[in-house]
Amino acid sequence: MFKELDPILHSQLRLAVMSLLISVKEAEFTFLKEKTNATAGNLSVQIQKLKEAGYIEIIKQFKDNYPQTICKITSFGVNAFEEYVKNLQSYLTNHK
Amino acid sequence: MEDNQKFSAEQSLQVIQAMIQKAKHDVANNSFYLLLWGWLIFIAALLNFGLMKFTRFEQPYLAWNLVWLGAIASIIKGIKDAKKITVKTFVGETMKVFGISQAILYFGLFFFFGKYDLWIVAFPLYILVYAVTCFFMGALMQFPLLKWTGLLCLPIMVIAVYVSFDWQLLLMALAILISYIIPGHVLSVKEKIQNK
Repeated sequence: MFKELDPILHSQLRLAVMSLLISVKEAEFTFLKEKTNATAGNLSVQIQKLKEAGYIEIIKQFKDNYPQTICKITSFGVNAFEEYVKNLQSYLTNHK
Repeated sequence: MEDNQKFSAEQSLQVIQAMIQKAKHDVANNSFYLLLWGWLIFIAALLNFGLMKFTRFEQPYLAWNLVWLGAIASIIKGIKDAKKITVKTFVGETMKVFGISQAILYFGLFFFFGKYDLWIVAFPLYILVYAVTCFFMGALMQFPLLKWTGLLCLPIMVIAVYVSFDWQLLLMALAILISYIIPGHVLSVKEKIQNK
């Protein structure tokens, strides 16, 4: 038996954002946009959903007079991501 | 990239792998500091040796003032990079703290050697610091060549303990050539390929 995959993470863009954030300390919105090739609007919506789930933290600040959005994975987000990968692995093992 | 919830488990795994790989490739370029400090120390050591051996200049140690150029260039590069940076990696942050710690260590050693006139032990100790630095940085950056070239400094340090001050200068130049300059150039080529 395997658990159902977390619907928050089982979305291509949200999963991509989480996979990027788990590998770094923090990343700017522009970095996530460049690496995922997503549109700014779509990315904004998806990171907001991750924030509402408590998986990431969003810091809005100014850098050299320009607005800057920084995203950081939370410890809750790390646990959810690890759980998702574990479930994914067990799903793939059972379906081989 | 779409917000697609109907993608398969295999695709899911591919997304995770691809993104982790992309984040990994965005590691800060470190060859600049290795090459800057490597060449400056190499030139300063040889200049000090040359001034001592082949001229009547009374203060050959003034050659080491070149390190101030390195300090200024490092600060300017650090400020410039901080403005451009869009992602902070754990490796990048550790390297930054390690760089600052090293600056404190070198300043502290310089102070002690000057205060107690211990210049005869200065270069073997600096070579030991290069060995530890390169070993640590090589491990952190997953760049094995730097680890091994760092370890190669250890026999040079042992030899340096048993030779006169002028020979220590040449050994210092050799140590920095092996531990900083050669891996620095190799890393620079790797970074250029990676950034293409």
